[in-house]
Amino acid sequence: MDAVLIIQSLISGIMMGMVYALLGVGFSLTWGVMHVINISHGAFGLLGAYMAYSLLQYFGVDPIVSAAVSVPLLFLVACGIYQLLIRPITRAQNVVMASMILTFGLAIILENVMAIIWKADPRVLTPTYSSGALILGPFYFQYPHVVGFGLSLAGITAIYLFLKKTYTGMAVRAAWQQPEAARLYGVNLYWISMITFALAVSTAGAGGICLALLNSFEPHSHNLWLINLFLVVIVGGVGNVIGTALAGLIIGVITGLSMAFLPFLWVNLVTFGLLMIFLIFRPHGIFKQEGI
Amino acid sequence: MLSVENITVCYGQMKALREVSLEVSTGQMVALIGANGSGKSTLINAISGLVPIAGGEITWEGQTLKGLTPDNICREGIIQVPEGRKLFPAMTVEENLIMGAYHPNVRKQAQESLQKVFSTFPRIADRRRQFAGSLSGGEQQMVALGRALMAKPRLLMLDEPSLGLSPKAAAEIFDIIRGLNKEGMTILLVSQEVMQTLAITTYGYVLENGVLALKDSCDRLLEDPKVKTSYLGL
Amino acid sequence: MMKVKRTNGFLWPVIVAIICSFTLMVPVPGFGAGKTIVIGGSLPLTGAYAETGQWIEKGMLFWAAEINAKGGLLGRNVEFKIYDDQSDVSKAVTFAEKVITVDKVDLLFGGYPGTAARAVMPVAEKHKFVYVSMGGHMKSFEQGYTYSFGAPPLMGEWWYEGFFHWLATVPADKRPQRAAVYTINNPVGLSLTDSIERWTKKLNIQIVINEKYNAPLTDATAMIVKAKQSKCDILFANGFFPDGVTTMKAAKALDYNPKIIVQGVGSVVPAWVKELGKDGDYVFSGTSLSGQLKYPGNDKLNAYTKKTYNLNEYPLYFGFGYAWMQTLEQAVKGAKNLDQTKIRDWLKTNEVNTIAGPMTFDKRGLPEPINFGTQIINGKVELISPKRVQTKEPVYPKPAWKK
Repeated sequence: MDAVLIIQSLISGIMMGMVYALLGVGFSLTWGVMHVINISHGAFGLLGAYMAYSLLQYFGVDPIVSAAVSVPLLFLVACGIYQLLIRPITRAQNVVMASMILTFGLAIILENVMAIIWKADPRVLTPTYSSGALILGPFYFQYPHVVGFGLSLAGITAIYLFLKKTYTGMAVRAAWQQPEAARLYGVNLYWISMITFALAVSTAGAGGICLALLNSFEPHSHNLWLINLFLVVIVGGVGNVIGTALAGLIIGVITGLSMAFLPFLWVNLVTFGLLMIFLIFRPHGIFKQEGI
Repeated sequence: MLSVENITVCYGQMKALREVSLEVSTGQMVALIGANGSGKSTLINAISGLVPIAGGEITWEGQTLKGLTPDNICREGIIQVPEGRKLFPAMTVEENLIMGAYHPNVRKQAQESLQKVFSTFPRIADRRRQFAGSLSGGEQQMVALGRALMAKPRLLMLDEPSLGLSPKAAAEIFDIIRGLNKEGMTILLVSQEVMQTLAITTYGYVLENGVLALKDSCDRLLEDPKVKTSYLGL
Repeated sequence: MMKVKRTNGFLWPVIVAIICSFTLMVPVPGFGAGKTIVIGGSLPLTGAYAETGQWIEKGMLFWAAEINAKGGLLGRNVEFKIYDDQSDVSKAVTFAEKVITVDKVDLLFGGYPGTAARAVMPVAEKHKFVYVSMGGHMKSFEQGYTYSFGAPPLMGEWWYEGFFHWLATVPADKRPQRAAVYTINNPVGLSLTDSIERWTKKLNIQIVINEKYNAPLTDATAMIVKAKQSKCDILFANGFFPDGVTTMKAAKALDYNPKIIVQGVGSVVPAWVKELGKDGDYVFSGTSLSGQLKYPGNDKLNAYTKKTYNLNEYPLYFGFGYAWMQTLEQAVKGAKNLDQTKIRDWLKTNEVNTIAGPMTFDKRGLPEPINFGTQIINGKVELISPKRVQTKEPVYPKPAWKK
C-alpha cells in the first residue's frame, strides 16, 4: 500500500468527518441542553441544502455566500418551530421520548414539503468550482471538499466561541449543567432553549450545505444523514462541541484509513462497529468531562 | 425590606409551608432554622420564585413579587446561594463567577466585581482556570458565595452554606458571612447549624413541619428551652 | 388538574404532527368501482425511489387517459388504485395483498424497484394474478412463477450487452486493457457484474480492481486514486445516481481520464444530465427502452412529455409505466375477459407490441434479451448499439476532462 493513497484517503476522510461534525454539533446541543433528540435535525440540514441549491440555480449565488442568508433564515424558522412545537413538549414527563416522536413527525412533514417544493429528483450542488481540485504535489483535494471542510471548521469554531466567550453562550452551558442555579442568576430557560434550538437548526442548515457540496441529495437523504449524526454525537459525547469535532475527525480518519487498507465493503462495518464499541464501553463519549 | 406574609406552598396534595410569615429589614442578618424537611429551603425557593405560592404574599420594598419569574426576582437583587452550592461543574471557577453577573443590570461591572471577589477569596483566585467540579467543598462554597456576590445582591439568601464541609471550612465560611453582614449586606441565613447560626445572627425564625414554631431575637432563642432540647441537644 | 393540562400541552403538537404526516402519506385511491376496471398495486411515491415511482405513475395515468378516451378496455373505463409504499419492499408486498384480497381489484400493475417487484411476484403467483413489471432481475424469473412477465423487463444481467456488442467492434489494439470495477452491494448492482465478467474474458480485458461498496457512498476519492494508480483505462461504476455522481465528481477532480467510463443505472435518469451537465457526458450505459426508438408510440409519448413537462424525450420510467400497461392491455384484449389465467395463457402464446418493440415470452415470462447500448453525448442519452437503432456514433476514447 503506498503512501500517496494512504495520505490522500486520510485527508479526504478528515475533510468529510469535519462536515459531519458541523452537522452533528447542533444535534448534540439540543440533546445535551434540552434533552430533545431532534430526529428532524438532518431534515433541517437538507432544507439548508435545498435553499442553497435554489439560490445557486436561480440567482447564481454561491453556496458560501447564500449561507449568510439561509442560515439566519433557518434560525428564525426554528424560533417559530420552538414556540409552536418544541416548547410545549419540554413540559412532558419524558422529554426525550416525546421529542423523538414529535420530531420524527416533523421530519416526515419536512421531507414531504421538500418533495413538493423541489420534487423528488436527486439534486447536485454545482458551484463553479464544483469539479476542480486543489493539487498539492501528488495529492488532489476536490474544491467542494476543501470548501465544505473550511466552512465546517469555521462553523464549529463559531459555535465553540459562542459557547465559551459570550454571555448567552455561557448561559446555554450553565442551563444545561445546573438549570436551577442558572435560573437563580437570571437565566431565562425558555429563552435559552429557544436560542439553543434555533442555533442547532441553523448549524444543521450550514452542515447540510457543506454535505451537499460533497454528495447529491434527495428529499429522503436526511435519513442517511441521521445515522452519521448519531455516530458523531455518541462518539463525541452528548452536548460536547469539542468532542463532536474530534469525533468527526476520528470517524474521518477511520473511514479514510479503512478505505485505503480494507475492501470498501468493510468501511461501514468498521465505522458502525466503532459505534457499538463506544455504546458498550464509553457511553459518555471520548471525554470523561462533560465539557462543551 | 422583605416581607413574607402568610404564605402557603403545596407540592401536589402535600402542604410544604402553611401560612408562614417572615421579615428581613435592611442591614439585618436573619436566621431561619429548623430540622431537615421543615420547609426552610421551600421558603427561600418561594422567595426566589422557583416554587409557586398557593396563598399569601411576598413583598419586596413594598412591591409584590407575585408572578415574577426567578430571573426577574434576581434582577431585583434577591440572590440565593442554593443548598449544595449547585455550581456549574464543567465550567471554570472564573466562568462560574462571571455567570453570577449574568443579569444585564450588573453585567457591565463584571470585571470589577470579579477582582473584588478574588481579593475576598484569594484561594479561588489561584484556581480560576480549574473546573468548579474539581474543587474541595470549602472552595466550592467560596465560589458559590463569590458567584452570588457577582450579582450585587441587596438581599443574600444562603441555604445551608456549611453543609458537607469540615468544621474548619464551615467556621471559615461563617466568618466570611459575618464579615459580609458587617459591611452592610442584608442576609437571610438558612442552616441546621443552629448554634453557629444563632451566634452570628440577630433575629431568628424556627420552622417545624412547614409551620412557624418560634420567632425571637437570637439571644432569647438560645435560651429557649424548646430550642435547647430540639436543636442544641442540651 | 395540573397534570392533565401538562399532558395536553405536549400531546397536541404530537397529534398534529402525526395527523399531518398521515395526510401527506395517504395513498391516492380511486373512487367507486362501478363498471370500471380497477387496476391496483403500489408505487414508491415517496422515499428513496420517489422520483422514479412518480414517473411510472405518470406513464400509467397517461395510458389510462388515452384508453378511456378511446372507449376503455373491453368497453369499460379503467381506473387505478395506487398506494404509496414509501419505497419500502415490505409495504409493497402488503399493498399487493391488500389490493387483491381487500380491494378486489380486477388487474394488478407492476411496481418499482426490482426488489419490490421480486417480492410481489410470489404474491401474484399465490393469488393467480398476472403481474407485468420490470421484474427483479434474472433470479426472480428463475423461480418457476407462471403469472409474472417482464414486459419489458429491466435486467441487470443484460444491462451492458449493447455496450459490449459495440466494444467488440473496436479493433483489439484500440480497446482498453485494464478494468476497474466498483459495484454497489445490492442485488441490482451485483446483477450488473454478470455481463462484465463474461465479456471482459471474451475481449481479453484484465479486471485489475473488483470491489464492492455499501450505500451511501460518501466519498469516492480512494476509489479513483486506486483506479488511477493501477492505470485502469476502463472504469465500471456499477451503481445508482448518488454514488454515480460522487464517483464522477471525484474522477474529474482527480483528473482521472480512462478511455471509457461505464455507469450503471444512475446515468439514464434525467437528473444525470440536468444536474451534472457537461461532466455527465460520454458515460456509457444501457437501457431496454428509449424515446429514440422508432417503434410506434414513442413519438406520441415524446410529444406529450414535451408539451407537459418540456422534456425533449420521455423519461425512461414514464415509458416503462406506459409499456407495462400496453402489454397488459393487449393481453386483456386478447383474452377478451378479465380471467387471469386466460390473460396469462394469451401472453404465453402471443406477441405483444409495445414502445419497446415486439416481444414474445418464454416459460420464465421473459422476452429475448433486449438491450440498447447508450452514451451520453452533449447532454443527451444517445443509442449507440446495436447499429439498427443507433442515433449517434459513440465518442471514443472519452475526451479528457475540461477544467
